[in-house]
Amino acid sequence: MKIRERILVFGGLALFFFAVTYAFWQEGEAKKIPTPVAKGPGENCVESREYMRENHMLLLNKWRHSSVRDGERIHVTPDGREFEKSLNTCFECHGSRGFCINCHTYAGAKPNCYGCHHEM
Amino acid sequence: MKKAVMPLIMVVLLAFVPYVAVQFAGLGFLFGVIIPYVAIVVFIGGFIYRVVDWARSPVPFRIPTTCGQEKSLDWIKPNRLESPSNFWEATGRVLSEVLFFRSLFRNTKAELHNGPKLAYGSSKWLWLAGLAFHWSMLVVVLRHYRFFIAKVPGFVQLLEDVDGFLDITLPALYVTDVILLAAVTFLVIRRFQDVKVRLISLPADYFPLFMILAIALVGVLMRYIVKVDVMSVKDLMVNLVHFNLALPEGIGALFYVHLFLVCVLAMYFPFSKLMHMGGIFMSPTRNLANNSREKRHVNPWNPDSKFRTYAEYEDEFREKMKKANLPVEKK
Ligand code: HEM
Repeated sequence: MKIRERILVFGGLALFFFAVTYAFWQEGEAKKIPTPVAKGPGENCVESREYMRENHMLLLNKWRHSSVRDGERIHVTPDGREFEKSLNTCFECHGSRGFCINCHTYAGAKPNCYGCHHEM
Repeated sequence: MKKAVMPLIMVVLLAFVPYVAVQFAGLGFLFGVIIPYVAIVVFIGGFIYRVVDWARSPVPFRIPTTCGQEKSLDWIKPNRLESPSNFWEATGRVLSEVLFFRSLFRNTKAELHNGPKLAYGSSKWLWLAGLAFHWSMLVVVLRHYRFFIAKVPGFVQLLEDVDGFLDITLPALYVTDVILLAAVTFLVIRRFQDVKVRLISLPADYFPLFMILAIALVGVLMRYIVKVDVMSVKDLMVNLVHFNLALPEGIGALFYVHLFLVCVLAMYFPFSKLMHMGGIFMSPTRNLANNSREKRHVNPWNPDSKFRTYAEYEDEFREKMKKANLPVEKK
């Protein structure tokens, strides 16, 4: 191989290697999922923790839809507890927007709630 | 048909293995930690091996495929891209191939009509679907860096924002997801639909298509329908890239299906047609300058042989040639 070909081939391979292992060179640790800071009594949430971790966005979306469009502002859980459909209801136990932002920044998922809603 | 069914069965089986193993046999560590490490080593090692192997193969002759005027005399206009005459022009040609699939744009179709008449026509769909598929797959893969890097890099966030700009569905629909699925589906149907293409299609053509389709379908399923806990997935991935062998609890089995199919694809990659990713840069028919009129390229393993040049020939026979009225170069 001529010297220029050598540089091209190994330069290209180095580029490939760097692109594939890009994440390996980055700083940072895996984050421990922050335990929900619930002010109310323990298992007080509208759904189980497992459900909320994966599906909270769907629940909030449903709340928005049914309260704004259909005027149904009260959420009734399967075991009969009633909640007002409002971010403020969440914040009663979960503090503030900071509770959302924490994980959302880590996961690189931007919630668009706060385009309209503001913190108390 | 069998050529397509076997790969399909293989992909379905491969998808079931991690699902059963994680859900019922508790083999999360194998599928979440060990196999991904093996896969990345095989992928990188295999890829480098293949490229180095190509690089070591001798290319004694200039064999670029051209379809334009070669550079020759000053007053003949050369076609710099179609018949590159130096390194930079050849680079331009390779890049236009890699980035825009330039030669595929020339794709034509041949049809037999009543008569019988053979008709050739323009056929850009393969080019369009191929380009759409490759670019959206690149964006999808780059966007995945958000699972591997603790602090999501700016360019990944930018890609996400642009990709999700429609802001419909929850979480926001990525345009590239739609394009990727549509384009791969087209590429599969293309192989079924035309008899000639069906005839030359092999299991090795269907398998990667089905694998990519399955990976994308499971990914889309996870994002929009059957949610997985993205936080734990990210913990796992960030742990892996820092060689911290801890498996977080509670990741849905569907994720392991996605990950395992990706690992199989990565290990299959260096030994399959997918190596065209490296091969396109290494093809002598594409990356050589067409300059054999300008430069003499000597085959390096030519035996030493004694050549007789015309000048020597003329030196020996000049007088006789003059007598016979043959033209000579030196008087
Ligand atoms: C060839 C490589 C891969 C392809 C083509 C692929 C494709 C996809 C696609 C099309 C989606 C739908 C959502 C989106 O576009 O982001 C997705 C989602 C996802 N992928 Fe992949 N993927 C690949 C590799 C991986 C790897 C290595 C991981 C390991 C972390 C992974 C984890 C995920 C997760 C967790 C989701 C769900 C995202 C969410 O819920 O927002 N993928 N994948």
